[in-house]
Amino acid sequence: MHELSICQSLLKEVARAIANQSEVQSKAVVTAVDIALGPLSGVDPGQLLRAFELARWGTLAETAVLRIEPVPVTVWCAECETESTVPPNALVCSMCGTWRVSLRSGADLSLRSVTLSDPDGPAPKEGTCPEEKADVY
Amino acid sequence: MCTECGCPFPPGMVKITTAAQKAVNLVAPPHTLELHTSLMRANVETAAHNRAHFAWADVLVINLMSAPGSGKTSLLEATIEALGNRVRIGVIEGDLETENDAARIRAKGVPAVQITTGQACHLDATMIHGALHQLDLSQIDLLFIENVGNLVCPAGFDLGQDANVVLLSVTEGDDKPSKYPVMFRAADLVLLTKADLAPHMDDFSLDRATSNIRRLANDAPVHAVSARRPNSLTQGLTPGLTPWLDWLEGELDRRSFPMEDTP
Ligand SMILES: Nc1nc2c(ncn2[C@@H]2O[C@H](COP(=O)(O)OP(=O)(O)OP(=O)(O)O)[C@@H](O)[C@H]2O)c(=O)[nH]1
Ligand SMILES: [Mg+2]
Ligand SMILES: [Zn+2]
Ligand SMILES: [Zn+2]
Ligand SMILES: [Zn+2]
Repeated sequence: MHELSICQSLLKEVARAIANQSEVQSKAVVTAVDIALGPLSGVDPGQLLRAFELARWGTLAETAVLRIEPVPVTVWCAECETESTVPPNALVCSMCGTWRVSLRSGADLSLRSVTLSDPDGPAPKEGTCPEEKADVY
Repeated sequence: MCTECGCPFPPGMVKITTAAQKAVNLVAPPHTLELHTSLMRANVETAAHNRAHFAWADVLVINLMSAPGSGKTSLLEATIEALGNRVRIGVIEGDLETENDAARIRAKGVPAVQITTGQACHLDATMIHGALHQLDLSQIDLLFIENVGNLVCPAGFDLGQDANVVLLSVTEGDDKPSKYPVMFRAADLVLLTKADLAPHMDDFSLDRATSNIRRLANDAPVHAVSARRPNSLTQGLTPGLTPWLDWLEGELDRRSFPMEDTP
């Protein structure tokens, strides 16, 4: 659905993060982008990976891989003082069953880190086709 | 002045901070920048900007979301009939194509801006910002945003609204909250629409629908309504629009706190 537009904002945030760095860093090539993604964000990881393949062309992250850390849905029951890991459509305490719980994690949709190639190291191989790397992930 | 659009920005309003700027933290080799930036940052900031516009103009903003055809425009038409002569209403319509819904609203004598999203399956804060500048907010007390008919995407995008109202028609099935948890978790009010058809839908249970919403840790009120027979409550048939209109009145009251109007 809108995974392509999510990718575009992801790439904007990557560019922003690099622009904030020193000049040496800003010349570096992005090799990996790590994000955290929970099911309650509404974003599908498979579609996001496919969209990233397209969206990264012509950007600083053209040859980067996208790594998605899945975040489980967890809820906190104040009554039982218990955290439960639950399915996205059953936000209830696993001890007492109440739905009066608060969401601890699972709606995450955030950029965690950007890995850059060593600007002093060997230059990244030119013309690497991202499609070749694609099936690694 | 608002730097984004050049529109006069309410004085005394806090400038939107760029959280990401602070979050950047460079660590030693292998050159990994540790960050904690929401991918929704840009949309959230624009939504905050919209919210400032709405607060400044003292407009209550309700975002209506549902599957295609659950009765959003019909609900708005009936709401305008019921409240239009007491409350100044405006509408922003979102659809993939056509001006049909805005035309239906304008036919009721209410200003409406149509956003045609083309490919985009949801409205975002930037689209709303463009639309709000086409309305005279000083002449509006209650602004409805009718989102694109879609139970998946619109929930992820803050528009600057005060409340989300999600419609589920009785012909769609009472299991939808369990199938679309992101949407129903975002609801501040759930309306079970087309309640006049409920007698024909023997497998739709209001209790089951409500319990599926509760299982999303959401205590939002759930009401059955019908836009087709808005006055039928008096005849003891269907709930009409009364619970919805009562909820709206409550939201409008909460908003009009006794304070001096600032110029
Ligand atoms: N019986 C009955 N039919 C209704 C009711 N509300 C809407 N409908 C019908 O449902 C159909 C869709 O209604 P709309 O109001 O256009 O639905 P919508 O959610 O605005 O649709 P989209 O904007 O296309 O997503 C129309 O044929 C309406 O007449 C109702 O309360 N009862
Ligand atoms: Mg409509
Ligand atoms: Zn979408
Ligand atoms: Zn418990
Ligand atoms: Zn503005």
